[in-house]
Amino acid sequence: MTRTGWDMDPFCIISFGQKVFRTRVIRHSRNPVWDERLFFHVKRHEHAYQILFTLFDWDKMSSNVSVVVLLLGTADGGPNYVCAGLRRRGATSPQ
Amino acid sequence: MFAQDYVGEVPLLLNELNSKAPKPSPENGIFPVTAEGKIIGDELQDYVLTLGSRSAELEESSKEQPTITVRAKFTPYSALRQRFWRT
Repeated sequence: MTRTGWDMDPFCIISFGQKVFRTRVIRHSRNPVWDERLFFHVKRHEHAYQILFTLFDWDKMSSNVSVVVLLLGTADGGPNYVCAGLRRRGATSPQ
Repeated sequence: MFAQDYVGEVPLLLNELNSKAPKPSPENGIFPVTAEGKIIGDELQDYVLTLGSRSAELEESSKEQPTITVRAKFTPYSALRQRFWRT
């Protein structure tokens, strides 16, 4: 389930058949106005197609670093810890 | 990745745009024009589309429906040609 919370960085992906376009990312807005234009040709066989507008939150896509810390006991009673960082690959930057 | 950042989607049927597009006159195939020479009906129209998310329960529980407003039009190629040749 998507929790956009109190903040989002929305952008829209517009797809028509095999053509895909995207708007820029608007930072920190719940009421974005992109005011962008696009046009594309509609071929004869595409006349019954639909234009799909899909909204995404770049906020949630940006790189996250999760750190997992495990505490392990050792023979002498002192703690030993293993630290693992998880990073998202290939975070995209907004335009 | 998909589950966290996806907000919602909504389609706009091209048939909807087609139905509002300018139509040529049956006798001579010319699109009717205004006094200034603009083809009648060839303007961007507003469409206010309500987004639907993947989760049906989320849709029902939310108080407000998020919408996206798009301005769109479909121009037949013959109308484009007419605009080019007849100005």
